Amino acid sequence: MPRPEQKMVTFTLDGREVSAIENSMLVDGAKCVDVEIPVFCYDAKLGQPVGACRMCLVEVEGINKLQTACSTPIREGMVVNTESDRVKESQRAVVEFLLINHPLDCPVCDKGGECPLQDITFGWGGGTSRFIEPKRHFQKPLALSPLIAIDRERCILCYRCVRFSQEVSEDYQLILSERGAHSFVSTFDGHPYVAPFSANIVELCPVGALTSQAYRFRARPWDVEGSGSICTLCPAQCNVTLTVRDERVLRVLGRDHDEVDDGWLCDKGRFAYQAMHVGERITEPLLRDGGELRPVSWERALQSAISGLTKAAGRTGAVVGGETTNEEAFLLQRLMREGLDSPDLDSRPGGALALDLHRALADPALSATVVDIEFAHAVLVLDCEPVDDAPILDLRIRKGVRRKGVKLAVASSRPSSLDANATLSLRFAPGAGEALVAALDAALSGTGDVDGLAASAGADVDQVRELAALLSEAGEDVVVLWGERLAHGPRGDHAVRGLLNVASRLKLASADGAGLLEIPSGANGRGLRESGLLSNAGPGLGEPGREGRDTPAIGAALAAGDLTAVYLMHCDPVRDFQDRGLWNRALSKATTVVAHAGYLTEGLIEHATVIFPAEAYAEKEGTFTHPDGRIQRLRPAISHARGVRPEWQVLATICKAAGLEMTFHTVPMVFRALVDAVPFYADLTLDEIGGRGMRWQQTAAAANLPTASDRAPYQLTAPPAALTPNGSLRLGTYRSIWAGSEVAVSPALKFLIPHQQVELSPDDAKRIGVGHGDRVEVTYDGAAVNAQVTLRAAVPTGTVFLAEATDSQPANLLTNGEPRLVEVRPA
Amino acid sequence: MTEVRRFTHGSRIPGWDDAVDFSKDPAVVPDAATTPVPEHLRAEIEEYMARYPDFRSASIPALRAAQREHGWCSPLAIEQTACVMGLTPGYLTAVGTFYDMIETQPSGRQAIYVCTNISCSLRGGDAIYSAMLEAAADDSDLNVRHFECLGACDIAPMASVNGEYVGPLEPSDCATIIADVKAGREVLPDKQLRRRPSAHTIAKQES
Ligand code: SF4
Ligand code: SF4
Ligand code: FES
Ligand code: FES
Repeated sequence: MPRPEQKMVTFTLDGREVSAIENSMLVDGAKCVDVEIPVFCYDAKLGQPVGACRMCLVEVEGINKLQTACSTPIREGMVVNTESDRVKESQRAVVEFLLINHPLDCPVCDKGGECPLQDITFGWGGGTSRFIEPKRHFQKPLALSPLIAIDRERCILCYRCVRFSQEVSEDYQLILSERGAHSFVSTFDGHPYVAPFSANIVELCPVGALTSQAYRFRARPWDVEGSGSICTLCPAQCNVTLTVRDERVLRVLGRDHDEVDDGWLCDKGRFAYQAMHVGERITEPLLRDGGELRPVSWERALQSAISGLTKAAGRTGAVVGGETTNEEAFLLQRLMREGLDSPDLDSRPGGALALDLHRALADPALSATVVDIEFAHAVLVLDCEPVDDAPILDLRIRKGVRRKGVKLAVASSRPSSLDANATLSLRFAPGAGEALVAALDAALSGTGDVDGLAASAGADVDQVRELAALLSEAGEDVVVLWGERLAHGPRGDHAVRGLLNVASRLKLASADGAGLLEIPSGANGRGLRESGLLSNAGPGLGEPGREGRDTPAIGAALAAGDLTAVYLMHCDPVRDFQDRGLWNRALSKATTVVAHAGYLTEGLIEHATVIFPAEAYAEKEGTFTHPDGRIQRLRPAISHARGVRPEWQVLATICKAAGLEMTFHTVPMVFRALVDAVPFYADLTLDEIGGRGMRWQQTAAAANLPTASDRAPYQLTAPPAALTPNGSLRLGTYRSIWAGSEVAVSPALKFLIPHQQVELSPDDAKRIGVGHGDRVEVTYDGAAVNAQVTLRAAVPTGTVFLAEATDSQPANLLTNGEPRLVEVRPA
Repeated sequence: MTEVRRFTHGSRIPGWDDAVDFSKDPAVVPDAATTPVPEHLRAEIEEYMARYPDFRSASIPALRAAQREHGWCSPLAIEQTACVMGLTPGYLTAVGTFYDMIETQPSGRQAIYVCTNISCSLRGGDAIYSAMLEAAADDSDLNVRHFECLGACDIAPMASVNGEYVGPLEPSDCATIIADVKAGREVLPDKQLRRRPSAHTIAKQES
């Protein structure tokens, strides 16, 4: 959709000529000339203003009554007065009115010192009150959820929190009950307000009515400092401000960036900072000694790692998780390729993708940005669940649909939380993404066997046709948001070719606001690939010299004894990857398992030989690359926990010991070397990246991206048909937003740790003879997962879903990355 | 006048002093697979939904239907309605607690609303209300409430008895009204608004 044109108009504000965007609200226009109009209920992020608090009244010439500046659009020639006696009188009146029942317990209120109500009372209030009657008093604080406390005395009924819940996150759990003076913020029948984005309301509340249970009474605004960085817990890489006191992170706030997070954070990002300061964190090197991991000196740990790795030179693999920075990735790939003569390294849990396809996908013309989602004519969410995979993108999609009229289509195996917003929701068999894109390609091109391909995908052919029609008729700006899982498995190349075909049929490369946007499995998935952490590509998606093994092949080679050592950077394959059995065998067979980890997870406890403590992201310096190509800086906010060393230095030390020349003294020096090695990063400097990041596609050096030799449309080969359930069930898996060590060790988030549950359709449950809440056993070839049944009407009959990376009984007991049929029976 | 209902700490509003209950799950849209809804209720709500361009406009009639089914808009009634409508129970609670004729606390099934707004109170509405309460005694099946203007000031002081507008009332009518309601009879036929010759032209023709 073309971005709305912004016409500048001139209006008069307090006797001054001001030029502002036509139809923007007066409060925003006034900011252009530093005139502050006080507001309580207005926040541009919340969408349409509601005019609930009347704090923003101003005089507009020609209109008799005072007008709310938050909801009065600016017109050419408007004459506005914010300083007349009438305006001041009304401001004083509103403040006095709001304070009638406000407890004024600022000295014990968490908001004190950063409270709009305090500031506005001080700045615009009358300073006195005529109210001498006793105020209302209630129980306080009360829990609204394990994360949020509510103090109803303090609430000024501005509606911000409920508007967030209803119109931004659309969970619609938070409501205003009753009416008039009786109104209060609450939930249905005492249910807690628990939703992925709930705690944004704490930041939104203009008074101290909503406070964070984790931050309450921990600090005062005047004894903390704010430090900007990015959240590294998922690919969305939201910009954050870390509240720091005495070298401890006490809180995470949004650092609004329209092009990244739109000013919101998910609750994982907001509360998992606690994981930096818990006892579970590894803060000293560990070495396996007599079968057990024991703390040792850095020298000893480094020595053991170096000797283990160099002994296995040529027979070492490296597997990397998403929290690794570009700089670390760059050093690690040099260590592997140049120092240890081992080309076996990968950052893709699902296996390699042809280099040519990587290049084709990275084509700047084909890449969509986060903002494109909001302005697209149509968005296709393909084989991913944004709220789990990159939560903040979920809000962006909702915003596009609700406020910009974006047509949404969802194509996934598991019912999606976006189904209710979608014009079309299509289900296909788990793992049959390749057949689905092939069917879509055929429907779009008008050639090929749509029926047969849709059947292979386990999808409804009419729906595939409808989807093709929706995408081709919506308008030129179509964004396809797709999950890396589409490209997982041995047939990943084929799936991506199909996807590129779809993109070429829809001419996504030729429209500015159209394109593909991949949600990688790791937070810095894109950066790792571009920094050279691929089995088949060096830095800058260049030729790797020698092609190595990808993740599944590294596992197999370790198990077979072809590789004898492995470097695990920020990942535990046993927990994170498909085929737990294989990885257990692989790691127990390896003689040296070097890991960088923040927490002891099962695979590491069992198999690691040396563990270096990982830095917390607040301690770390480096760069990350956002899924849309934006390079963002990670800035240290606190000093390292005692015993933790910068990981890039650890890598550099090992590189040096392996015979590489290392001349780096600082992270920026490594960055420089990285930029020199990645041709399309060539124009980037840390200064320019700054606090807002920079998309490499927007620099001239983007032209240096190596081009793919072969281009879409490709000739596709017939995809394998989805398995037929006949009695057994297709197994689908997903990874919850709450999976992961950071959630598991953060005291505030512990209640959200995902437990395994089997999602069954009512029909299948009936056939098997189990009901909601019953325990069942899901089995495949002797392996079993035991879990509780959750009945969901939206689960397609014939399919069952299990969660990955749960605290126990995880799905990867049964999976190996290929489609599977499982048996379900009462336990 | 009866005493205003007060809760601890002087709160007059149920809920102000309540924390949430952590043993409950977050109230998301109820899943059809785990929320049984009586078939006729589902059909009725779906019929209402079909009447409006935005199905959410059917919230009020849908809640009224659930209220008829369950006697009041209990959490269960709200959950069932939410399940059929594909909304969160919270959405419907916000609607339900806003409107007076949706009962979110247990209440009698017989709705007797006595108007105590300006016109009626000038003509003795408060006395009618007291008399009505007295006549109803403690019968939990009777939901006697004072109400704001019901739009029938011409028959002030008046009351709405299960939707039937009656007036002008004398305090002595109250006992008859209660007796009629209990017996399931028509209430005060001669004081019903719709039977007044002076009312609507069509009513006039019919009478
Ligand atoms: S709790 Fe805060 S955000 Fe919500 S209505 Fe009250 S004052 Fe506004
Ligand atoms: S959406 Fe992702 S990046 Fe943003 S706060 Fe949550 S975990 Fe962090
Ligand atoms: S800010 Fe304008 S009415 Fe509240
Ligand atoms: S005041 Fe009673 S009906 Fe209008």
